[in-house]
Amino acid sequence: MPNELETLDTTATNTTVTKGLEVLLADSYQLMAQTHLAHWNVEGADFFQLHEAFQSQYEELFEAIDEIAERLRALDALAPGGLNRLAALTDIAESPDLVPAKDFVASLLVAHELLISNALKTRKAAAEAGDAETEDMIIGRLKSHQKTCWMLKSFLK
Amino acid sequence: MKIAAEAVTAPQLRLLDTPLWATICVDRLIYHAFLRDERDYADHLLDLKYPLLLGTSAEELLRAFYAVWKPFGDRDYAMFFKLRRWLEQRITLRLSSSSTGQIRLQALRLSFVSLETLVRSHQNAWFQEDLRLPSLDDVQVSFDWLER
Ligand SMILES: [Fe+2]
Repeated sequence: MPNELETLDTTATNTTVTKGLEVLLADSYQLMAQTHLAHWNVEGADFFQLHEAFQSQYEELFEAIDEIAERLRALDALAPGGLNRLAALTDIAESPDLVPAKDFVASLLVAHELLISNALKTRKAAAEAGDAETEDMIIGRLKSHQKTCWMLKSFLK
Repeated sequence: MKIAAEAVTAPQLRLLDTPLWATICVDRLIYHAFLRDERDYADHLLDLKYPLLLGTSAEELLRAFYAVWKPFGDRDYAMFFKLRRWLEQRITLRLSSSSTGQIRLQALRLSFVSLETLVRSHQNAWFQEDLRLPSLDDVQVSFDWLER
């Protein structure tokens, strides 16, 4: 029979994980806003292609944000919300409203890379805390961001 | 055998707060340029690497950046984009009018032209706006490191 301590869910109290998830949420939100901006304002010969690619990227991010926020709730932490509060939690820079199409792509690429480097730390913290469910969710997010990076990089070649 | 600590200490080359990624990226580009036997590209990258490490004048660094960015920037777009954004955050544009004595500090936006064209466009913008200025060349343009 397992002893009582073994069945205790300790993940809920791991603040390194929940703080990391807050950053992941904020990074994802900022990235979604930046992708949406690129979708609206991109111009040039590649307009149709980029306009549509950016749309599928921000739609994917929108769903991911909900999943991250609900994971925070499952870990008994509050999900941070509101544009100002989220902006304070992220280091992803805002792009100017209008830049050449390739600069929109490059600035999104840099944002994805920053998100990935933060998410890798949180994935590690979740693994160390034995929180396999959070780890699994972050692995899914990483795969998606890495795939988007590949697409953005290919466009820039 | 014990090696004296001072014997293995690297010389203090990094005077500028160049981020590590920038020097690593430039090194990687140099390596690939050599592999592809692109001597010209590699030479320009080497010319960029040293002002980047040594923190010489902002103008010298910008000159080296444009010298490689203009002809080769399109092939390693993301890397040049990051470097460009970093330069824009670290360097400011200083305009001064010889006749009126006015000074303006402006954010640097590196457009895909040349350093000369960039300078000219700022001189022109001020000249068009201020009717007191006798000529374009009345506006002096310089590049300064931003205080950290
Ligand atoms: Fe739309």
